[in-house]
Amino acid sequence: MLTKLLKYEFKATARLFLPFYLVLLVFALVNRFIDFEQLVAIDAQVFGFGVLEMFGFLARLLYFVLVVGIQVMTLLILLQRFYKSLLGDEGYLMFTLPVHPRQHIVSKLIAAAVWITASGLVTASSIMIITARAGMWEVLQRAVSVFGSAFGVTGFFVFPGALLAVMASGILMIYAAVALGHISPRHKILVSLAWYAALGFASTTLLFIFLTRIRAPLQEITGVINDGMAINLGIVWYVLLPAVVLGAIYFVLTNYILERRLNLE
Amino acid sequence: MSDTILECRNLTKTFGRIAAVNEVTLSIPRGNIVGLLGPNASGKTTFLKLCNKLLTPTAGEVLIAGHKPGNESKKLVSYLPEKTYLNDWMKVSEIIGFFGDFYTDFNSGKAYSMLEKLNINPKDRLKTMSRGTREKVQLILVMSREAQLYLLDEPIGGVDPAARDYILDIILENYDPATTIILSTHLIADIEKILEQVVFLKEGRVVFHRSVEQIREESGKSVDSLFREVFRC
Repeated sequence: MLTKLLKYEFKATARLFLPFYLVLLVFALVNRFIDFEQLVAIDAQVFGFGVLEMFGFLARLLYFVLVVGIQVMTLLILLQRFYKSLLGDEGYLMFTLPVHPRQHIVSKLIAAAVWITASGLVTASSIMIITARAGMWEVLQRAVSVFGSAFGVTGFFVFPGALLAVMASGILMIYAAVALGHISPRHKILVSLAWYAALGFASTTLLFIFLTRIRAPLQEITGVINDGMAINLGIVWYVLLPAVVLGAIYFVLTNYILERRLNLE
Repeated sequence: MSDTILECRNLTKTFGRIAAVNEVTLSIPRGNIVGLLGPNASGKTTFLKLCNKLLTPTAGEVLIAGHKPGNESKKLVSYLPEKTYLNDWMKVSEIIGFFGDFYTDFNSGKAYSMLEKLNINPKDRLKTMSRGTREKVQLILVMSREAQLYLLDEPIGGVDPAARDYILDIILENYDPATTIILSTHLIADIEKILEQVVFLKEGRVVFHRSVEQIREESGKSVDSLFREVFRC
């Protein structure tokens, strides 16, 4: 059932994301070929004032608007796919399917994580399109080899793993806040926002306590796990462990509300 | 297999201080077309949502073929809500694929043949359809399942009188005597001819539950006139 949910989740979201990505990459290409010196020269020769220069500037501005737009859109769609498709009118369909609520949460979470990653990669690619210069590939390769010698092969798994865990925990915090807002009889959106702030505050406080109190024993554990790489990789565990624990708490909370306290009004 | 398809005991749902469904105790046997009748705000929609686990009861319980509402009951129940719940960007054919993917009892051949009879193009997107047509699509999807229990909330409420007869025909055509249909409405005269049992709901309580035959024998009245008598303002 999860694969079927994922199939429809990606179908519903790809139609929104893919055209946006395409526009961003096209604008990056346009910006790549904008040579302001040349535009100024043509302007001086042909128009006598900065017509092309203005268009060039506009293209650059639009590119930045698109970059910001994609990040905002990713967040909004992530929210909308949970709020509208589960707790809005579409929820009447989704919650009458023979599917467990936890599968709904997992499918939304996987799709959201994939799109956040994709939006990040497309944005990074668009920046590369604009800024790529000869010798850049070598610089990148050197950066990878420096990273490899510092953290070893494990680093290539642990760092993205930690990033993914932090991302998942962040998404699940949003879901938990929306679900908590849902059980309020009134002002659901406002209550969700208040819960988001409260969960954010509580999580940061817990993270702070964790970092200050449990530092020493954790270093021992990571020392064993990483076999000597604790000095470098140990820091990741401080991020990874709390993210996994908090993410699990948010997941259980959201699942409990969708399973036991659902009220689609 | 138990003879009872739906059973509730002291089922209650309150919103603030208002009890939308109030200590309802009810047992519906298999193989009946049951009218859930009551004026506006009598608790019909809330009752059907409780049976589908879209609302959590404040007290009491409901059992579908012995199961508490959940994954098992959802496999048995085909529910038509009073809302339009479909993605409007999807084509009808895609929604049929969606239902086929999730419900093992969904018969897509049946759905396509009903669409054809109602002149609805499966390639059309819901976005381009009128509200009435969308409601017809929803009813077709719901009736194309070979479920044990159909819960239909106002299936004829949004369509014109000419289409009502056709919709009732769809319901009857797809009705297998082993299954049960519970449909809520306040348009009693239109559906009276297909009903076998009626449940009157008033302010969230069951005030009356009889077979249509019993009503005719005991009072000599039609369901419609009995309804008008019970709910006279």
